[in-house]
Amino acid sequence: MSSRKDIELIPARSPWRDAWLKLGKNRLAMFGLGFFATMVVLCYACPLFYPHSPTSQTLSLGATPPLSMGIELRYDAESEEADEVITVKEFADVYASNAEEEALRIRNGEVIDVDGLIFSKSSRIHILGTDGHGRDLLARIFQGGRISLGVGFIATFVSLLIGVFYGAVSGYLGGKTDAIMMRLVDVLYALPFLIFVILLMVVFEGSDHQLFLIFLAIGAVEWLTMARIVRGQVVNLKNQDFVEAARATGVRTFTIILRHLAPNILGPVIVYSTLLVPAVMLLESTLSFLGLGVQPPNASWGTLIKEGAEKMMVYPWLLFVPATFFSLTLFAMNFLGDGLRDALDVKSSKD
Amino acid sequence: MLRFILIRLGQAIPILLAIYTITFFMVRAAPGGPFSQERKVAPHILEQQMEYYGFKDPLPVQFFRTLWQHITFEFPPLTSYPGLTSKDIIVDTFPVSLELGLLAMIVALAIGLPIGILAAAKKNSILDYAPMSLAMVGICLPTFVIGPLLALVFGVWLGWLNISGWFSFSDRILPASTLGLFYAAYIARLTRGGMLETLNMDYIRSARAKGAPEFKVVIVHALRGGIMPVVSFFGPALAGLISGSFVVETIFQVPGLGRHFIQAALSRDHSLILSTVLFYAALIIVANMIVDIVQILLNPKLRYQ
Amino acid sequence: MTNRLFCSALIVILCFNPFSSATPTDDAIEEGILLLGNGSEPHSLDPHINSSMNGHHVIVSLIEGLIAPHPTDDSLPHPGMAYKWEHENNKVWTFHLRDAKWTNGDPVTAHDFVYSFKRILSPRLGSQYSEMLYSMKNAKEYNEGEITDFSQVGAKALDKLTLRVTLKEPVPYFYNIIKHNSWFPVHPETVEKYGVIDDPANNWIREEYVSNGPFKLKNWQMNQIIEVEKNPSYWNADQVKLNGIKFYPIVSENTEDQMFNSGALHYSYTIPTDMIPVYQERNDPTLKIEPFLGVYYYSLNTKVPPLNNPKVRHALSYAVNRNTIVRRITKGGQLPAGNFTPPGISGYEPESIASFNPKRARELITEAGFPNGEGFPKLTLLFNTLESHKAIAEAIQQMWKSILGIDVEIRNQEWKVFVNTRHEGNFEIARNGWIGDYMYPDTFLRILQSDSGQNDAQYSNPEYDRLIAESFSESDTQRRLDLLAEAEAIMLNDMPIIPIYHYVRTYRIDPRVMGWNPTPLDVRNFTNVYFE
Repeated sequence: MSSRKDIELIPARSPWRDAWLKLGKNRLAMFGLGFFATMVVLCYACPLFYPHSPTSQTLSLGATPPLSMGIELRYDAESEEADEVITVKEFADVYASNAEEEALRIRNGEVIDVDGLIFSKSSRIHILGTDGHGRDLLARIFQGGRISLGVGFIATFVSLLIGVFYGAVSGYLGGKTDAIMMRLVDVLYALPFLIFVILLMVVFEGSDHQLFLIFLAIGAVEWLTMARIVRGQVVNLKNQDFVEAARATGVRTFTIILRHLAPNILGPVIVYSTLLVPAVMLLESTLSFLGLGVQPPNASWGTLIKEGAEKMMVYPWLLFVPATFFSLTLFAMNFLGDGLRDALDVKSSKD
Repeated sequence: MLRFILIRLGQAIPILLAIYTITFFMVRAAPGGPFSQERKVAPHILEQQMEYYGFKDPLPVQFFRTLWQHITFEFPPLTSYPGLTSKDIIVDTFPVSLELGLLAMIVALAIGLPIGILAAAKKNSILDYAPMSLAMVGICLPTFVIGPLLALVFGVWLGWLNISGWFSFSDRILPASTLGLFYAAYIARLTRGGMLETLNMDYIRSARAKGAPEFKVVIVHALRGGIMPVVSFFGPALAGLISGSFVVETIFQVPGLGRHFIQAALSRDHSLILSTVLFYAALIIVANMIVDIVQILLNPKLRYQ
Repeated sequence: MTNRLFCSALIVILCFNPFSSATPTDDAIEEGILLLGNGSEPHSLDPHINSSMNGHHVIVSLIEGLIAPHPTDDSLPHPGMAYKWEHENNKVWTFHLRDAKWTNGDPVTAHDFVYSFKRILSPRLGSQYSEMLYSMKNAKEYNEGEITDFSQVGAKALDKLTLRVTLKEPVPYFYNIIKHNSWFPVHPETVEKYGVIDDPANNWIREEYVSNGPFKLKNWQMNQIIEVEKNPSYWNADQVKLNGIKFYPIVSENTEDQMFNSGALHYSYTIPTDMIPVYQERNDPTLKIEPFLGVYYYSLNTKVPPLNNPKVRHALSYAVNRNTIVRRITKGGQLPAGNFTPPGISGYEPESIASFNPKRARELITEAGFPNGEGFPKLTLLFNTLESHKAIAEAIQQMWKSILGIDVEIRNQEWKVFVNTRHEGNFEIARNGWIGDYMYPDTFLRILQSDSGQNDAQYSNPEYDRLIAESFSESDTQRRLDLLAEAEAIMLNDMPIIPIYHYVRTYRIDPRVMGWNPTPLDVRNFTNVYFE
């Protein structure tokens, strides 16, 4: 259909640019990218603008639901600073004579006096409520995000680098090399991960290293599965006609892996990576569960969810809120991953 | 095929030996010992215990003695359960873990495969997005969230199932579902990815071109290649299902091996650590072998290599 | 189509749903079986090897010592294998045994007790609780291998049914100490059948559990259940009202709570912290909060500067708001601890010295040379990995920061590493806790004696040691307690430990269970438990 003239007008595009353009058209993927970028920015920039610190506690304001009102209590009218900040419930249980009416008056901004104690509305607002120690949940989520996203991405990246290279080489070379390489993976698989980590953590005591060690330990373990998947894929692909054709025409092994196999295994690798990020984040929470992860008062999304799960009968939002952040971020990454997969799909791009 | 299996089993010996060696020295190097207790034990008592359990011998003697114990299946008494050996523990608990793992696998496949296939076949439709989003939620919610939720709904509110224990068949439902749901999400994602890859292959296109019905194309032609990533994933997943299920075992009070695996490490029971690690290793080797065999069966070209 | 499917699904669900049927607890009551949550799997049911509370609960249902747990008051004796006893100067105790039988029909004799004492004191057995017998003459020496002839130890069978125990020093409450399972008898022939007397791996407990208590072992599946049934050959079998007990080792607090809610347990061993206020608010009749003889405290390493300065230690203690901790964090009605020994021991009235006083705390830290915490080195607060310890540590970290202006790092360690670090004195501040073994203050105060193995704070004050030693040889009961109270006050003025709160037992129990009386030691005489 196209005339010669049209073809001349289309400039030669690199496959990467092609992929980028395709990705741009995928609305879900762009949404994922946008959401994800926002999340990263919020997590890292929150100390700059968010008024609450993730570590400052107000025990008397523990586990308040989102947007609930705090009441400032002054022992005498003169004092500048509030002596205590308490919950409406505690006000009703301990101090109030006519709880409902008085709480309403406080809510409307009145300063009231009950038996010489001065109560007024606190200007503090916790958008997503507070945790059991009265720490702002949103601030903790942002802080946890820094750790979780960090762990998730660095560990996944490490495992991606090692796993893809290892799996591709093993699968492509085949034979004895393949057998030896895969047996090595078997050895590492069967190693007791927990003891390995306990050792690492104790040998390198000190909180500066600890976080780095979590990245390292998880990355070093997770590449194994990646290697197996890539190898399976390569073994499957390498007998296909286009690879055999390349081989027959004398293309170098390295070039075959890079040019012909790599683009074809990108799909499953990306899909697996989008699975790996949450898996790594969860693994980190399991480590924290055993006392080997992040040290308090720091938190990660994994530890927040774990704490929330323990309290879900009483304070459901402590589970619901971090779980939602976690899920939404993973959704976003998932859409992005799918979009990337489609965009990078060499064959469908020729359709 | 038989030769392949024999070679693989032959290769297993050096692997197990390597794992034994690494683990042996790792546990010896780990801080805290089997006799570290809240109540500090008097030095003379500690001496006696070290003597009894053979920790006073030179390290090489301990190394070869323990190795010999594992070769001959003559295990020493455990420090954490006086009177028992690791053989007693494994023989007692492995069948439970195996049953739980197999049931969970059935749950995972029964849910994950159809969702993944459907999503790939109806790509970018509601039938793709809705189930895949659900699967994603499954991944986001770890077992320590799903487990208590299921227990709350089916145990407390509806009162259909027992919340914990491992007595009747109905006690299997909650733990197996909790463990299975988590893996189902993975399987759905991997199946969808693998199926999409395969559906783009030339032979599928030629099958379509020949006018084969879509259902037949998807199920008969594409599925074989499409579940390859799932098969690769299954080796490690299988072993994980069987021995790594300690969270589920703890929540539902299942007397399985997974808890001992973690507990042995936490209580520094050297003998139990070594035995469970070696057992776990053997399990992984067998699982991976099965995976390779299945891959060969699914991809006939590999058979001649 | 879809509608019909939905309807049939609903019908299936409704048929399946046994709303009207009885819960496991109802069925169990019919059969006279008590269903108990019991924490975690006991590592052994051998009374001489067990070191856990969970094991202890089961063992007291199976084996009876000379003195049985009193049904209502832990500080009183209750006849067990001994139907009467007398003493000379609280030092030489003679027990007259009743005509009782082991489950295999053999009589329970004084010789069995001597054999049992010898067994737990055998060095090779490596019992962690052999120290419990050290009040007996030469027991320590035998246990440490200094003497090898057991006849020199102060335990002698005068005849088949008369046992004489000679103590090193007078112990007026000796009958309380011997309620502990380390003093329990075992059946010598059975032990010998499956190994030698001092073999730690002797598996008689699983092969053939011969016992003499109100119940006998029926079924024991690891991590699953321990089932005991009524022992018809028990001397007091007529009084035992239960037909059996099922102990479930449920590790997860939440699981246990839900099991209780679904009617699968008569008694839940623990309650998740956050559920306590919920049950309190609705006046749940199943909720019980009772005193428990235990203390939660922080050990300060008195050898490390600046903690070697008592002013710093007091400043840290004054800056801990104990009321806030028990009210907002532990939530179970724990008692803020002003001293070390928990309340409830009659006649013992220690001075309450530790308190919350931010002003005094600031003064002291300034006097110690750290005004507003300036120049204070960064200390580490160590605790073992557990959510509740973490919560308290985080709160105290914040209190010290806001009141004293000092920064401490908090760090958790996995249990085995933690106990080693603590025993080796390789810490600055460490979480600690202690549960009394018997109803007398020395079960706590001994910990801080200079030569004690549990003295993690490495506290040493000759005056303290002297007062405690003096009390041991004092025969006047009240004077003895006063000396201990004096010693405790001296210790608290040095503040090597920061007492935080005294424990309570928080549990839930089916209102149909009767005779379940509060006991500060959490040791129960199951003979007296019955159903409404």
